[in-house]
Amino acid sequence: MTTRQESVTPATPPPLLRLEGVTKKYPVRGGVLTAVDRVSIDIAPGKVLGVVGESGCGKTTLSRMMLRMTEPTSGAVQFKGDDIWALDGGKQKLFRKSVSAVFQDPYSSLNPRHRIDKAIMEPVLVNAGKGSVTGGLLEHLLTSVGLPITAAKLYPHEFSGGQRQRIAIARAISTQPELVLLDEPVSALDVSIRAQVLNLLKDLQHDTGVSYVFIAHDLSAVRYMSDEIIVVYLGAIVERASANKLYQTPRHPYTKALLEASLPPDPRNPSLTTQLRGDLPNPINAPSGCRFRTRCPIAAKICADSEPEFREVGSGHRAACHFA
Amino acid sequence: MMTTSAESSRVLEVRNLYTSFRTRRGVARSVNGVSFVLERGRTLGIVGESGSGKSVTLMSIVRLLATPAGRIENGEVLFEGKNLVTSSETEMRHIRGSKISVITQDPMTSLNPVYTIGNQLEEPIRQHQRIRVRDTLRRLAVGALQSVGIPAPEDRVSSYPHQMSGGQRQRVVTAMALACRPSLILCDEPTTALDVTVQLQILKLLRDLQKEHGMAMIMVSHDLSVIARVCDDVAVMYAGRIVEKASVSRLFEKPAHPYTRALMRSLNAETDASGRLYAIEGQPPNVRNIGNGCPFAPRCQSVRSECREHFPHEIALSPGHTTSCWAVMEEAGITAPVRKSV
Repeated sequence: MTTRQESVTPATPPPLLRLEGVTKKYPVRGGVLTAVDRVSIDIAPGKVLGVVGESGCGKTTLSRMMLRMTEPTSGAVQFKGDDIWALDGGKQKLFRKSVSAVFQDPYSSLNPRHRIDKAIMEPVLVNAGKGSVTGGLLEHLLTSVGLPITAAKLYPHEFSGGQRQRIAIARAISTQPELVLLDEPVSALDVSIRAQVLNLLKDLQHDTGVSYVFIAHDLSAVRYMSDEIIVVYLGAIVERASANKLYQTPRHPYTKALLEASLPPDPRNPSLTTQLRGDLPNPINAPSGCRFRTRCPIAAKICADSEPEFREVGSGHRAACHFA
Repeated sequence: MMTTSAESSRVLEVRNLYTSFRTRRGVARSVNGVSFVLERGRTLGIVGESGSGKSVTLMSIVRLLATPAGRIENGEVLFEGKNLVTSSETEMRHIRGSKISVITQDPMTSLNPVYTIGNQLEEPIRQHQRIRVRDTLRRLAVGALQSVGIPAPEDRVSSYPHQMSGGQRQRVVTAMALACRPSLILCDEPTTALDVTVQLQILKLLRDLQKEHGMAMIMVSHDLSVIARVCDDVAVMYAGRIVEKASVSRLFEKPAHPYTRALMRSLNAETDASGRLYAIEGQPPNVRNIGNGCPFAPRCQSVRSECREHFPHEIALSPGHTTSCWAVMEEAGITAPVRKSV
């Protein structure tokens, strides 16, 4: 299989994490489900990559492969140049310490029977051993996510959703990782709390230079957080551009529809028109040619016949559409 | 606009509604004196965060509160002139699904997985319209599916819920809700579980059907952009109280209450001079522990001393636009309270 989506590699610095033609297929009754299809991504140190797509587009499988929780069917995931499935003991430990995650639901991602100090410090203890924990680290972590020191002795149920997400963030940064994967970190939070948590994440990124992969379906949050954004549809990248370019000049019809659906409406002229027909097709029998053609407002014959190339449509801007 | 009009066009009037839940950790006062009027053919949006009492308000109207914990403590719910709070359970059963329908967030939990959707569509018609002829029922079910835009309804009527996508299931639930031509439809976050591109399709469907049948609709959502797309009027709830009410366009043009204004800034992802997102500091209040003051006071930037002691009267800023805020009152130079909240 040829790599459809070549990666745009900046000359310097080398990528922290690189996905090269990564594919994940699951055998299911009635065929093979291709959850992620030939995805290539470079995550540069200190940068934030936004990943946008609807449920079922493969965001979660993609993030599990980045975290070394799911092995790709084909293609490679490299951490600083090494294949993460071929790491020896020491390097594997380093990988675990360097890559962490914050998940969507702060209610299920914290053990209800562990106090906050244990929840936050566990990754440090596992990775570094008891002896090497420096005094004051817990206090430093709590302060940096905006929680009082007294929180250490409490249990998760004593906190609100937004505070729990702060705890999950403190845990994720406890080992001073180089990359944190944020999987819908604010989707479960109330509107008034979302901005607080996004500001916190941005401040931490600014202060520590950590890289983020920010997965979300909320485009305004992604825009605020990301340097570069990829749009995923049925397991494949359909568009990639810098955050500003993607919002100002989206090229793929799917990106356009997503943007249109998430813009704040004008109440005097509330638009309920959507260019998209129907639902996401069954990924077991993905459409021939362009995967988006069954819902696309501008689909033509060529779209059923040949798969569009993920080609350059502007500097640093790629889209997989015959008409982009 | 919520101006006074003939009583006959009023489908629903909620007067001074108080609903609370007895829990092990104390009494949660979820709805604290909510009043509003809904006229035929109008759509009211209720926006608020989790725990603001918006869903409890909805469930109080149809008396579907978790018992014995949940209880309507006070107030009236006048539906077509009849007070539902004092109606018997038998009367309520005749009203629910027939004159008032509810559409909830998750279409999977409102459909029974072991019955075909045809079977479930026929049930409200069988129950409320006493039609028992099989062929007639099936014909009505197919027609109902067709009206909500399900392709090949003759075939889909024998499908099970799990064979349909989330968007299609929500269409089926909508068809069920409309099967008996209700005069009031209550939607509780009907599109929150759906993807953004499918959300718009369902909202359009709801709005078109509501206009077509001239129903009154209440749409509860945490998302102002959903409400702006569908509703005529909007009520903003915070900690069990309506803090502001206006037509949608007025609310977007001139939000008055500090909480509404903050919500607008988050909706537009506004940033301050240093490029940080505008955030409402602090945490949402605990409804088990609400005093007599304004519940937003601890997070409010325009807070003053009276805010912590008394919840302000509702004042009218213009016809149909009301708010409850001491700071707004002072700015507007209003001292006399509005007697009736319409």
